[in-house]
Amino acid sequence: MLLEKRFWILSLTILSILVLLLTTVISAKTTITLMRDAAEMPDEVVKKFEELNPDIEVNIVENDFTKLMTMIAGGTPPDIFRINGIGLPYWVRKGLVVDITPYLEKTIDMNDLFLVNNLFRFDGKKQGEGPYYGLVKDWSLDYMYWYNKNALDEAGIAYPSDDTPLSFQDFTDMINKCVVYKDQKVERYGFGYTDDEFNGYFLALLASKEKWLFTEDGKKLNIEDPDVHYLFKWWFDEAKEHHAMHNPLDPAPDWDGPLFQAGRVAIQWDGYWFGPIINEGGQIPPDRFGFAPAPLYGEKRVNATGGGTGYVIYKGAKNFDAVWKYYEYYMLKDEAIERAKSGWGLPAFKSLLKYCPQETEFDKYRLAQVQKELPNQITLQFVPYLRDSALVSVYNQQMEPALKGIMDFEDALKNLAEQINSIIESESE
Amino acid sequence: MLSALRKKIGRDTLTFYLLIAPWIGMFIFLNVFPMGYGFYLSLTKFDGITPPRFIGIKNYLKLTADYRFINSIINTLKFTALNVMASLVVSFLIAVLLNRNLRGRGLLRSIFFLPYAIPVIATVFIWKTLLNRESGILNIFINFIMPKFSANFLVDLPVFSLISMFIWQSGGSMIIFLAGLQNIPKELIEAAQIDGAHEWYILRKITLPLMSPVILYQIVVGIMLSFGIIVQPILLTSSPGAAFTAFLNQQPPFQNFFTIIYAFQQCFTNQNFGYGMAIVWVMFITMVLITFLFMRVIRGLIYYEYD
Repeated sequence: MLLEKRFWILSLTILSILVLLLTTVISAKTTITLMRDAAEMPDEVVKKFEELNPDIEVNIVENDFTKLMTMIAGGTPPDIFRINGIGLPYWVRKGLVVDITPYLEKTIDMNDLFLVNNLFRFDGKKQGEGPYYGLVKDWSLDYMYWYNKNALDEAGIAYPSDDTPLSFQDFTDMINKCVVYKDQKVERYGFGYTDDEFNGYFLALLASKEKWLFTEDGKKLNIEDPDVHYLFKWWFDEAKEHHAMHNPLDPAPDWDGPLFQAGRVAIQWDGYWFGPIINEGGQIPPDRFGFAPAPLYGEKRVNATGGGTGYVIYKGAKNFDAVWKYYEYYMLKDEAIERAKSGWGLPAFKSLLKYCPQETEFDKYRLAQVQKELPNQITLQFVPYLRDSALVSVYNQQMEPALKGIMDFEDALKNLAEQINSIIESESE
Repeated sequence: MLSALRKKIGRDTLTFYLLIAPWIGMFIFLNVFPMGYGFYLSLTKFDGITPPRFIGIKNYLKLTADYRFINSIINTLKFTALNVMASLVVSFLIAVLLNRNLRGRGLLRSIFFLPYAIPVIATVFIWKTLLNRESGILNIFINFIMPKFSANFLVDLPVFSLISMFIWQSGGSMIIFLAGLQNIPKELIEAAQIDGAHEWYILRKITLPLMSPVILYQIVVGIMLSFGIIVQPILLTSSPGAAFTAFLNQQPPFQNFFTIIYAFQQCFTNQNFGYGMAIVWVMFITMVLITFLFMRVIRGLIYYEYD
């Protein structure tokens, strides 16, 4: 009797498990994994896609580089993830991303793409050429800058021209004159910049002298070049004099947006995308801010995108058709229009420029300023042996003792170069 | 099979091993296996993407000439010594005070314990608010006495900033000390008091010896925890703007650049997992050696009620 009872209980348990498994298999959706930044791709955007495609489930992972590397090392990478276009060569060299050119050619007019999307092209040697591995989700010409007119008035400086760029020396003088100290504290900084990664600033400035941050073979940091050396010294001196934010001597109490709005920073070296921060209505009205062309380091007038945030598809993505559907939805279709309308960046496509906000005088002004700079746009190039943020990380580590006067700048720069060169050498073995 | 095993080793023994089997399984799966795999990786060149390539002890040899690693070990040892001493002395003294018959001691105990319950990230941001030069409360208070005073404690005194934060959060240690103090037989204290011993004498001759096993435990745990601190040194001087990029780009002040931070950066900034694992293993061995040596040196001072 007991044996019979146990038999029936066991049989029913096994049957229930089988039924559960069977229903799970039958109703299985295709699942794709998306690593996204919640601020730029909120849940509603993802839910809308799932409603339009009920057979696809999107598994969301929050954007985090450490998590991404762990997922890749663990063999469970996301199907779509976010990178800065400037760092694309590294990802291509590692064989991690899909060449999406054939899929793009079927879907869009390739001539409609802005030049900035060349950041996501790499032919194995030169960034900007070869197949497309992704697109920017939106972009700015990052080396234009915003200036606080009140700060310039107080310093007795004329406003920079809307059309003619300042020389780099005049730009530096303007920054330095705008700094205000009170009781050993910096009340107003000369300049700030949102992206930690000064690589882009250096690359753009050097491009105006037709020079590069690295040696020609891309295997070493080119600190022997006087123009490269000058920029590192300039960046160091500005930090040492407390003129720049995000430096080890002056960790900023808040990010640049609120500080610039509050008048704590005179010049904000950021592009079009920074406009909504000003628009959001701090104490200073938008018409008290100007938006000037990129300063001129050399003879050639250039401007560029330093980051070029976009999305790429992992090479080993299992359900590629479903993954591509999401990619099309977010990057190429209606969501691209929504992003253009938000005013947080220029669209990847020329035809969508008309959707950029132009209701207010300020929005019209900032768009007009950017359009004047478009003919000067170039594609910056990075090296495939280094992640784009590695230089910043090493710089912060090596320069900190020098900023505190414990080490000489030249020794610190030499250590920085040695470490970067060592990473490149290790990667290129 | 089970009944045969039971006959061989006894029912009680079998029950014991069956009950601890899940823990042993988890220990092997979550500790032994990862440590073993980490050691294997330390003998390879591995970028987290392409398969590991065996290179023998090259990573370890490279460490001997790596000044950043050597500096990080020195920083870690210095910080560990200062942090363990400061936190334990303060938490012990507070526990002794709160062990008395004070009015409202329950509330006081809760107040002293509360910072320990605050999550790490929140604690770091509280400390940044307290100590930053721009709007730090400490600077504001000092300005009442010295109006032109301005100090960037987080940058100029990074070790002090970090240790003060851990002292503030030493409520957990305090509770353990309090539990130990309450196990001291009251008769001993009363007998000493009757004989005319003053408080300091009682502390030295009765309390401390009887508390020595607890103090030893706290020191050993304190050493292990100090070696593993990574989030607080980095976030204490991070810039919020740079949070848009990665935690990886953040660098603590060089005095707070610890070995575990270097290992983390090697793995996740430089994608050099093999080298990072070598650093972790050397750090682990250093920590074990220090703990072992420490226990050997002071074992004569530890009073165990039961041998």
